[in-house]
Amino acid sequence: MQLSSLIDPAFVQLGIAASDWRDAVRKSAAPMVSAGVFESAYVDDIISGAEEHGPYFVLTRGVAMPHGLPEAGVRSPALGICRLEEPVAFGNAACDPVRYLLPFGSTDAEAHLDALTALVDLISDAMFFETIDTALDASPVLAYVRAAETKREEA
Amino acid sequence: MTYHALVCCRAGMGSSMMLKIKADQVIKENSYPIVTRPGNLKALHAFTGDLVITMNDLVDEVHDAGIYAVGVDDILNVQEIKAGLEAFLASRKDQA
Repeated sequence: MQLSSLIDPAFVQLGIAASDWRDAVRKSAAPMVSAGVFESAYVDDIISGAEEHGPYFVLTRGVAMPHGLPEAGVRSPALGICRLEEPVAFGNAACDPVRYLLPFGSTDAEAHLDALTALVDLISDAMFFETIDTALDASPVLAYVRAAETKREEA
Repeated sequence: MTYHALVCCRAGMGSSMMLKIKADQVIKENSYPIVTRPGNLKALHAFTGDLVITMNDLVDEVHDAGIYAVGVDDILNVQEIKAGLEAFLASRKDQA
């Protein structure tokens, strides 16, 4: 399954104001909850998981991929892209503060190995974040993701 | 000798898959004798491999289970992953 097929335009949010990491996680996942692909219990699980184990989903400098236990309430696989207006600290000194959240839910990670491999490439790509920074709506962001997929397929 | 590593995070779905992809790149580039598979914290109870590669937040829980753990703060930091895996390999060499 392709990465872009997991991202509905409504899941791309640009310039979200968040008071702390919990607020950031909730707001980043709100469109998926509205769309019914995540149950609100799934978002609760992400937050309680990080409270119990630490912010295990902070991936690299400035970037987090909030996700929890699929059985907590993932109805179908999805990925969001959320840029915060002001970054917030998650408690990972090497990567704080976090400006970009990629809320993710899947019921079968192996099935999304290709998509996640593409995502590893994207979060290594400064132009991807530049696109998110300058985008006024979801379309340039999704276009960038699709172009990166095409490039991977041709490689 | 090939060492077996479990790459895990709490859920076994997101961070661990991303970390596995990155760790596999480092292992391949350096020809380390390590094979990885993904898992979650629950998989630790049935763990029979040699080491666990995980996000730094979870290292203490892996240590508590009596398993060698390589913790990573930043999954894109190849040097951090490399240093962790080399420290593991060096620890095994000392035992040999």
